Amino acid sequence: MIGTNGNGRSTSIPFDEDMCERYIFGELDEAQQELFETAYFNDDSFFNRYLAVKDELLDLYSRNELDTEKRVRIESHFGSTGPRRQRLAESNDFISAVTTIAGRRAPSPTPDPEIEPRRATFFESLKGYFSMPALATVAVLLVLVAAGLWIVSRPESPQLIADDPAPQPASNTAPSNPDVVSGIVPSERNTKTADKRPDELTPQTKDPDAPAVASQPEAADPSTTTPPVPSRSIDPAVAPPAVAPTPEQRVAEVVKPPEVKSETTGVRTETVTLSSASRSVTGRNTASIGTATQNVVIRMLFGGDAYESYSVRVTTLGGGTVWRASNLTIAGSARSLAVTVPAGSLTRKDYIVVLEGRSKDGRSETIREYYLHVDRH
Amino acid sequence: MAMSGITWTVTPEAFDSLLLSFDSDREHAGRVYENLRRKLLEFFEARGSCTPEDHADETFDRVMRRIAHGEKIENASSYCYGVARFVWMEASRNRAKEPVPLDEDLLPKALAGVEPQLEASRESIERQLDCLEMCLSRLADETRQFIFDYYGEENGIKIEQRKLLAARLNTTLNALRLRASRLRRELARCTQTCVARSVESGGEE
Repeated sequence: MIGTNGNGRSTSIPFDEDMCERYIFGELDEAQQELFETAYFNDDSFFNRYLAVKDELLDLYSRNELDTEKRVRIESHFGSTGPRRQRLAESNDFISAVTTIAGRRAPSPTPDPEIEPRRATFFESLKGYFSMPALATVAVLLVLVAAGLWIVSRPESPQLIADDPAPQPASNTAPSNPDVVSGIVPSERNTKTADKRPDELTPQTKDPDAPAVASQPEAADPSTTTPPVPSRSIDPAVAPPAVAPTPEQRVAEVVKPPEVKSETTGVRTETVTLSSASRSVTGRNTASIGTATQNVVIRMLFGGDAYESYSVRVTTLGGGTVWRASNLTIAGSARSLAVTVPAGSLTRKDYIVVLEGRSKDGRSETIREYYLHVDRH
Repeated sequence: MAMSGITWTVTPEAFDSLLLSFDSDREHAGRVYENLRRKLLEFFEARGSCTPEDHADETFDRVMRRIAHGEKIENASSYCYGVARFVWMEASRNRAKEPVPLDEDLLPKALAGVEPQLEASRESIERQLDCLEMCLSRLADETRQFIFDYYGEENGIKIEQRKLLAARLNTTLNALRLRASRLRRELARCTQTCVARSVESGGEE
């Protein structure tokens, strides 16, 4: 029926999940394919069900939870073109990103895990945020943490950002989800016509196929309002306490319990003590920087052999160095080091703090990497 | 409809006419447009297009051109589907005439560069993560927790966990799946918007 361009045509078929899967896997013949496509072009509810089945298949594939037969079918079909491969990658990325954010909001129930053996790619790192430590590692860490008992007495409860719920009108005809799943790169066309996207200004419609959850508080359409500045949702009230006068930059010191004073915003010196590479954001590895903050003292606890000298690098997750210091020395047998980083060097994001040791023969090696979250308020 | 031999370019007026043909209410017409575009992307991706966005744009361009030539559209979805099938037929025909490329050449340039770009621009990924987090923070508590429960990576068999989740919410797996899918697309759209604005404003939100 190509000749008519389908103007006015309205063919509908009942939603069949098996047919849907075969469409997704590219296994329908031309006639069936046309039937299926006609149905989803004419029926938003049908289209939403199709998208839901497709989302779930890709999701379960990403989690390695599909049976072999379906895995083979997916791989054969989705491996054949760039856009399809991209869909698979996006499914993986979405799972990782949601997991990461969920972890940031959850309390840290155990001492932090040990350092990762290698620098992973960013999304590998995201997955790695939540790996549980081995018991032995926990024990070692507990000993280290015990050396600075003041650390464990700090509160670490997370904060959930206030919600902005809004009930959504039900509609059977209005499209509810017109965008691409990826959320990675807006299409050129969409960018060009961004000012012509009234859906940014209107509430989402509720899917009529989900009545059983309709009574649940639904999402306020996030795009209907101006996005605020993203927040890592670290409550300043649980941020690490500040300490008074800091050691000179490039001069190491033995860690001693800091002079604790009440948390106020805008302290001139913020102190954060890092003991592990845990990538869960907690009050412990968060530096909370206010407008008056000039310096951030980063204390690092570590074990192992002593080195002739030490160096510290603060890098972005992408590996770019934002600050470094070298030729640092430690008095006595202490296994801790503190450096003072100008607050202006740090923006609100996550960093890796790399501690390296230099032996007498001049060889350098990484002693430990720490995860640092910086929050600005 | 004779279209060959005439140079025709998309104009704001043509786009307005397209929207008007969808609905007299501009806001609703915009939603129809976005929804149709989404369907076109699915269609072209399912058919094996390496450039579904270009093909979707080409479809709309042709529809606009036909409207400009006085054609009336009764059913926008069916009409666009019909035009999309023509676009795909022509694209397939043209592709068949071309020499067979190596697999990596099947990727359009923009997509072929995606992975290296992601590697090279982790700042951009961080921005996306920030935006997703912001979008999640704007959801109701229960909705946000639902997303975490449904999509979060954790130990155990996800499909079993989803059955438990459905039972806890007193709903069916199908309804759960629809809800998750819809919310995910809302989040994607919110993230897109946020990232675009962030980039426009210079990167630091």
